[in-house]
Amino acid sequence: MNNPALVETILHWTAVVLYVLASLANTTGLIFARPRAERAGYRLALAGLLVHSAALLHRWVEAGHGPYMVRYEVLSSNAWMALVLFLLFARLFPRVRPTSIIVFPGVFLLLAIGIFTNPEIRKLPPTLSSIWLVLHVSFYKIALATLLVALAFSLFFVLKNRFSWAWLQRLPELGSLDAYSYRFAGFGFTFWAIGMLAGSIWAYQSWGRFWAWDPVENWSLFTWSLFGLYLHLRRFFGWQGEKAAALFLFCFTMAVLSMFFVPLLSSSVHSEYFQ
Amino acid sequence: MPLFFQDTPLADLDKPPLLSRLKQTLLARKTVLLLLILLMSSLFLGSTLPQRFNTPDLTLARWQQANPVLGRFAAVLGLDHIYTTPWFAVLLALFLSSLLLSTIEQSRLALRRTWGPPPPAQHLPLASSRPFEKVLAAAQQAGFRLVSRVDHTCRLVRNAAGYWGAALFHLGLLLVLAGVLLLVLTQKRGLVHLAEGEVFSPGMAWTSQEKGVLADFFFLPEAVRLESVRPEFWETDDLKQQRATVTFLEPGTESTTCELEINRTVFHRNIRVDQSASFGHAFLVILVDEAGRELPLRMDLEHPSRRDQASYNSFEFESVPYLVKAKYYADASHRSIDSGTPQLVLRLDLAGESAGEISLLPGQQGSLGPYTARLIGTARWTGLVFSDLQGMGLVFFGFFVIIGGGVLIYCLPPREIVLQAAGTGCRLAWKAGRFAAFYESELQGILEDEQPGPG
Ligand code: HEM
Repeated sequence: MNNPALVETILHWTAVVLYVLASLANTTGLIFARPRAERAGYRLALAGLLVHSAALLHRWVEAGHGPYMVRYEVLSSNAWMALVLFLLFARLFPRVRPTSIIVFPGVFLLLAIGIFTNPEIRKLPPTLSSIWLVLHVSFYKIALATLLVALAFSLFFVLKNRFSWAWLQRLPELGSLDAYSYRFAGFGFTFWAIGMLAGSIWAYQSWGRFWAWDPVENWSLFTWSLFGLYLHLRRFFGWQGEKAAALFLFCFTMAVLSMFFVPLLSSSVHSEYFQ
Repeated sequence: MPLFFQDTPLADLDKPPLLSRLKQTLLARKTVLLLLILLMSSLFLGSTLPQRFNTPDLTLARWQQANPVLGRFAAVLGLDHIYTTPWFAVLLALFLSSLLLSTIEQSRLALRRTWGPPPPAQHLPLASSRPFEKVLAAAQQAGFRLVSRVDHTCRLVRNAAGYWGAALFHLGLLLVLAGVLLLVLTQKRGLVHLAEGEVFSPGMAWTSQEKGVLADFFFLPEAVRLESVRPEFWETDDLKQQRATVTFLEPGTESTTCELEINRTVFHRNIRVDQSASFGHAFLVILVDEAGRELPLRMDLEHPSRRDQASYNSFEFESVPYLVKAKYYADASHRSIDSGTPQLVLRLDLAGESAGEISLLPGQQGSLGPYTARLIGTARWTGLVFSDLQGMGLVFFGFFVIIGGGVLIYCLPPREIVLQAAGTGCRLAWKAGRFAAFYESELQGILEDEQPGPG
């Protein structure tokens, strides 16, 4: 096979199929208490990750730059980062494992949506060849992955609080679910700040200004402040449980909007590069 | 959850009551929430409504026409220039005062929590039959540090650094805001388009300029000459790098030559010089009219983005009654993105009617409407950005402090134990600054198998 685009498409689709199978096995395992199915889910996810890594590496070599130029690369590498971080978190905090029920499907959806966007390779413009850009993009990805875990905990809290399904009873108790969603939101908030910092250093290096009041920057700052508000409400007004989960859901929606949709809608330096 | 004491507010004995009340109001959780919401709403409006500083006048006028009610409302409240309105300045001042006071308060609290004595005699809710000394040793082994000991009461802390997280975080916010304020007030930035060989002298008009509220016109310390412009392209015609050489012409001393490229920062006498990504060809055309008069015209066009695509611009000149429409290919044969023979196509336009068109290579001439047109020369041009900025260091340093604070808050949640000898056993209380649910079992480990019973 000497058609690079075909190799990459096949690798990406194989990864999607493996992730879909992983999601099915894992969900079955968690809901019906079948540890073997759950283990199979993890193995399939790992196999998917291997193939996915190969696809990204192949792309990297073909394009001559990291996977952060066009939307296709951005979504695929977001999915990759979300899964890698999840697996890391799941090792560090085993109680995070059930959030795979949200994370695995999230990963294949991101990847599949990415495949349907234009995969044309674009060469790196000179403003984009900066280590700060790499850090900027990577930390937003890490923030997204962390917030995805926090989202799963918030949803678990709401479900467990309202329903008595058997699989929900195997999750950590309500207090822990709430504390986990709080803590991962805090991690996400911190990583988001690092992403913004690296971005503004990059902008300063490339354009001599650290903030251009570009819509993507403004929305990112707005979303970050919203998370700050959420954390303040939790800390000072004792917000917890469903009320906090509902606010988190709103914050998460804003995060997704400002990361993926604002660059599409408005004219900004970001939309020029990330479409 | 055994919460054993509420942090008592730090006494403000030395303050007159009015100041103390003002401080209390500024620090009240409701005030903070309100300030945060107001600031975020301003940011929201600032990014949804068109702002004067980044919207061309015409676009703004059109927006006002299309939204008459909102437009009038915006004009009254200054919503078209939010960040320079008096109400925004008041809001920012209140926010900064609250943040400053809170940061001081949080630091005092962190200091007390890190090294302070146990709280005054209180009822400690947990009892253990394990001897005091054993529990103390077990706690120390589990990573708790003995911070203070008063009579038979000890205070032990684990992850004390975590107590500083919030203080650092808010200090970082303060630093960033202070830096931004300094920058917004004093910054000077100028963009100038120069062609190779051209000199830009102090005091000449900038192509575009931005300056802070308190800043004067931006004078460069000396004249600067653009020596050469050297773009480099990928095989796909995308721009790979854009380089330029400039010379600062210092009267009486040796000139300094600087090499610029995108993403390389160059400082010259505290002025920052950046290579912008815009560049192209400047075309010098001479029109000769029927009376034999020579009319020199200079037209700077952006470099085309592909070898087979042109870039366009239209020009108005006082000496010519027509609109001059120009089209520019990087290479006359359309086979290269970067050649020595750019092609210029000119058209004269009067009230939408074409009065003549001509295609020219360097040195060529021909007739264009009532004129004879000659392309006597081309030179590359590029944009250079000069800036004089104070406060950037504070902004970036502040950002790192914010991140340090965030990491301490969420990665190192502190816990503490107050332990008191009671008969042959002991009484104690345990507290986690955040995420208590994760660490409750920690105490069980310290007391070993013994269940702490309610006292
Ligand atoms: C008027 C300005 C502000 C005041 C007076 C203030 C005050 C405080 C105080 C007293 C704490 C608790 C500290 C502790 O736990 O010891 C806190 C926590 C916090 N604040 Fe602020 N704050 C302000 C603005 C902000 C802003 C603008 C943000 C970010 C967008 C922010 C984010 C946070 C975070 C993340 C925490 C930690 C919350 C947690 O416990 O998880 N604050 N703030």
